[in-house]
Order: sequence, then C-alpha cells, then structure tokens
Amino acid sequence: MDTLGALFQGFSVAVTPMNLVWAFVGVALGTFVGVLPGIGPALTVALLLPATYTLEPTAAFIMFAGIYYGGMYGGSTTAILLNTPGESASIITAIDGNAMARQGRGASALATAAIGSFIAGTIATVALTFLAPVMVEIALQFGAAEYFALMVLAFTTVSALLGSSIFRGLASLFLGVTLGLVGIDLQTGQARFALGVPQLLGGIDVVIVAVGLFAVGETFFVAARHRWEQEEILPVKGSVWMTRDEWKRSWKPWLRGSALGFPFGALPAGGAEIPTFLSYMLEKRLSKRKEEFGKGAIEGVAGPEAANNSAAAGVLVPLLTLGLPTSATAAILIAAFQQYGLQPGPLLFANEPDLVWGLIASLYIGNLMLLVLNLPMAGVWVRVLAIPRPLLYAGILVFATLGTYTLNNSVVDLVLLYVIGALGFVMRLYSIPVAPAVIGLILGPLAEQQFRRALSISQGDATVFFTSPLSASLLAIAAIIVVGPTIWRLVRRRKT
Amino acid sequence: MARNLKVARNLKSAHLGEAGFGLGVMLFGMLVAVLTTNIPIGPAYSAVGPRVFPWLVSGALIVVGLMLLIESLRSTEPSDRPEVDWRAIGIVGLGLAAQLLLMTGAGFVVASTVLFVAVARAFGSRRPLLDTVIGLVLCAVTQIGFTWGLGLRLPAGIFAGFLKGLL
Repeated sequence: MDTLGALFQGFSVAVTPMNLVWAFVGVALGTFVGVLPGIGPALTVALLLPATYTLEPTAAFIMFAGIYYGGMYGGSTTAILLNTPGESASIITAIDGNAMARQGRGASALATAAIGSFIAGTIATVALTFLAPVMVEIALQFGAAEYFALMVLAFTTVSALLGSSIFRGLASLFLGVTLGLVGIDLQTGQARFALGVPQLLGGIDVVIVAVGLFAVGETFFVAARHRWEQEEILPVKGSVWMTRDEWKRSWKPWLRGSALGFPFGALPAGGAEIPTFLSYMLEKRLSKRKEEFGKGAIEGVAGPEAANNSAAAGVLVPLLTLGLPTSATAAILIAAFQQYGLQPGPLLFANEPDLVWGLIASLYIGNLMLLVLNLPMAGVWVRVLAIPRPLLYAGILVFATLGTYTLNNSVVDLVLLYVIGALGFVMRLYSIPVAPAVIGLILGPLAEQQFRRALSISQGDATVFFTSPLSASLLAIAAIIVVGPTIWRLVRRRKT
Repeated sequence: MARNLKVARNLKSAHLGEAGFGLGVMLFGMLVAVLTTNIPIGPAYSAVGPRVFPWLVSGALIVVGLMLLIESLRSTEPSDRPEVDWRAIGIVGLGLAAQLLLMTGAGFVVASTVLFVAVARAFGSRRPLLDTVIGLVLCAVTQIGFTWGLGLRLPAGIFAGFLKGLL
C-alpha cells in the first residue's frame, strides 16, 4: 500500500472531532502527570492505562500517543526547573537546563526544550512513517527462530544499557521474565507458579509491576531519603520564549539531536539514554563556548532534548512493526494493545490499518498540540511542581493503589503491588535498574512463544537457532554483549 | 580514627547488602527450579513442554545471582548505597497495610484517606488534620469521578448509602 495514502487515511481517522478531543486529553494529562516529580513517562502511561479501559481501541491509542509524548514534555520541565529527572533520558537535560534556570534563564531553557522536542518529534515521526512499512516487509520474512534471536538480543542490549553493570540489568530482566511466567501456560493449559492462588492463574498484570516498581518502590525510596535531600523549585513566570541569539544557537543542535536520536530508538536495541549523552558530547565539541557547558549552555539543552524525543518516536518502529518493546514505556504500550486483544507486529498493519495509521497521524497532531500547550502554559506547570512533597507522594500512592485495584477489583492485586513495590525499593537501594524488569515481563512470554514455535517447527531440534544465518548472527551479537566486557578485561589484565 | 572506623564499617555493611542481593537472586532462581519440577505436564501434546522455558530462566537467575555475588565481593570501590530512614519506610508500610484491611469493609474513601495521611506523615507533614481533610476530598472526588465518568466501581463501604443517593 502507498505510504502517503495510508497516512492520509490515518489523518482522516485522527481528525474527527471526538478523536481530536482524546488526543488533547492525552497530551494534557500526559504533560500534567509527567511534570509531577518522581513520575517518568513509563509510570505516566501505567497510571493512566486504567482510565482508557472504557474507550474503543482507536480512541484509546490516540489518547495513548498523546500521553506518551506529553509525558516526555512534562519530564523535561521537571528536569530543568527541579533538577530531578524523572527518567534516565532527561539526566543530561537537567545539567545545563537547571544551570540556566538558576541564572534566571529558565524560560529560555523550557522554550528550547519544547520547540526542540516539537521539531525532533515531527522529523522522527516522518521517519517513522516511511520506515515502518519497510520494516513490516522485512519482518514478514522473519521466522520464529529469527524472532526469538531478535528478542534475546533486545534482552541483552536493554540490560547492558540500563544498568551500571550488565549483571544488574540482567538480574532485573530475569526477575521480570519470571513474573511473566506466572499463570496458565497458553499452549498446554497447565498452571505455572500460581502457588494455588486462583487470582494468579490469569498472569500478573503489567500495570501492577510497573506501578509497583516505579510508584510504590520510588515512594519508599524518596521517603527513606527525604530527610537528607533538599530540593529547590526555580521560578518561571508567564509564557516562555527565546531571544534571537538563542534561536541561532539552538536550531543546529535540534537538527543534529533529531538525527542522532531516531536511529538509536529504532534499532531493536533502543533506549534514549545513549543518544542524549552523545548529543551532549557532540554539541560540546562543536561549540565555540565550551566553557559554558555545565554552567548553562543552551546547546546542552536543545541537542539532548531533541535526541530524547527523536529516540522516543524511534522506539515506536520496533514496537509497531515487530512487537518488540525496547523501553519500559513501550512495554506498557504493548500491554495496552494486548488489553484489546491486539498484538503489534507486521500483521497489525494489514489487519488494523485504521488503528495503526490513525495512531501515527495522531502523533503529528499531538506534537503540535503539545507545542501550543507548553509555550504559553509553562507557568501553570510550574505551579504543579510546587505541590508540597508530603501531599504529592501521598497522592501518588493513592492513585497507584487505585489504578491497581480497579484492574480486577481484587485485594490480591494490592498485596502483589506492595510485594513488588518492596522489591522495587530494594532494587533502587542497590542501583539495580527497574526498567528491564518491566520489559522482561512483557517480552518474556513473547520470547517463549517464539522459542517453542521454532522448536515445534524443527521437531525439537535446537540447532534451528544456529542454522539460520540471521538468527545465528543475532545470537552471536547478544553473546558478545554479555561476555565481551569480561573477556576484554581478562585479556587486558594478562597483557599488563 | 573513629571516623575512619565508621566509614570502613559502613563500607563493609553496604557491600554485604549487595552480596545479599546477589545471593537472594541465586536462591530465588533455585526456588524457581524447585517450583518448575511441580509444573504438571498435561496430556496435550507439544514439542516443548511447559517446563523447558522456566528451566532456562531459573538457570539464568542462578548464574546472574552468582555473578552479582562475585562482583560485590571483588568490588573495591565504596558502595553507593544511600542511608535509609527506616521510620519513614515503616509509616508508609503501615499506611499500605491499613488501606488493604479497610478497603473492602470501610470502603475506598476511608481506606485511601488513611493511606494518604500516613504517607504525608512519613514525608514529614506535621498537620494530620489538614492532611485528613485534603485526603478525604481527593478520595471522595476520585470515587465519584470514577463511578460517574468511567463507570468503574470502587468499594463504597460506609458511604454506600450516600453515594447511591448521589448518583
């Protein structure tokens, strides 16, 4: 099918008055929740997931697209004005953004972040529009063995990128995979790890795990630390804008950041952390004012923010075309699809073109809405930041437990939430990243399905994973990522 | 001197915590292995049974836990484990337990207001009365909004009659 025609069809779905309202509700809610300190995009999506249960799928996903982009926008506001990045991809933004806010240039920092995010988001969405159909063609050639190998590669890259050591990432990942095994095995109908609790037979909902790790665990962690850490909200009044000179210094970093971010997000080894870091290094190297970096260089906000948003759009490529989540937020989005009985992947483009292209079209619309919403309303979001911490975290926990309880109206889910929250707290304490656990929970069952499918086609012959050249090379790359650093260290030690 | 000793002790106990986490992951992997042997293999034919993947996962957990244990024991850098205010943790935990117990009987509004006040207290709020009022209003508005707007049902508890009259 012609891509432009399909996109046009998508716009005709997204531009109906009701769907525009959902898109607006999505970006407004996403920005609002994203601005709240301690709430990153993944938790934003997880907390708002129950609110969409009563919607029909197309409207729900249009709203989700808004929440996804809105959460990213909101997160950068928190990073700049409060210096508490809600997710690892905003850490870099916080360095110079907060320094600018300290010098009273918070409005310019917010403006370059918002406009840069809009430009990067739009460029990356265009790239997504044209890359997705190509990826679908490629994905249709994949067999079960290739899919499994690709998932193993995604497992290892996600663990390697998100943790300070790969084993910390892998520990988190496999804890998530184990949680994903709980429940009835769909192929044989046998109960696994349900411990005789009937409520566990249906499996553990991703909302419980994400909210438990990100909201309950985070609240425990901040509660444990609040006496030692002080924070300061920097003021910004009215609407935000930039001077001529700041425009001149921002536009190139925006474009370079967009170009860096998208490929990293689109590779099934995504994540937005690395491109934001690379963009910062690149801008510092190219700048004539190197000494300003770390002390409020606008390029250090413009580039990484563009890279962050561009990568966020890139992540949607493996998500929609392969059904492969490479960030915690993407994993929760997959769960949202599954809620409606839909499985993202090449077949979704063939079976539900209105839904997929409506979603992509609403990304363009949501991005534009966010720009309009954020430039004049920055002052409003700043007021959200001023909610006293005791009330804020009390509210977060009430909504976390509410979101969990409404899943099944069951107290068992609440117990599960607390247990997972306690686990999340311990993981935070020892710097074990929690995002791989959420990815493992969603990707684990998908990987098992492809693993078993591949082995039933080959009639139990495990060499099937190594006889296909593509599958073999993907597995080889995964193996290098896991054991490579250790071997490298050993070799180097022998030399010295 | 005394300070040095204290630093050394903190350092050691922090790494003990990390080693404990690795050990915990290992033990959890063994538990998964034990539970895997309890998975019934049903009469339905399949080339790969329901136990194969859990076996792989339990093996991976044991290996990863072992590697974490080795990493923590060999680490010479000071641990970055932050200090913990256990009293605050305890208050949040009590709030969650109270919410769990009150949810079905007393209803969402009462249970969640108790949680709200407890968490605010753990974060250093000294105005329990004000917190109670704010929590009550927040929870009541939420319950009415969810029932009205989204059609989701939350346990009404002691406000059942009131809510019924309202809607």
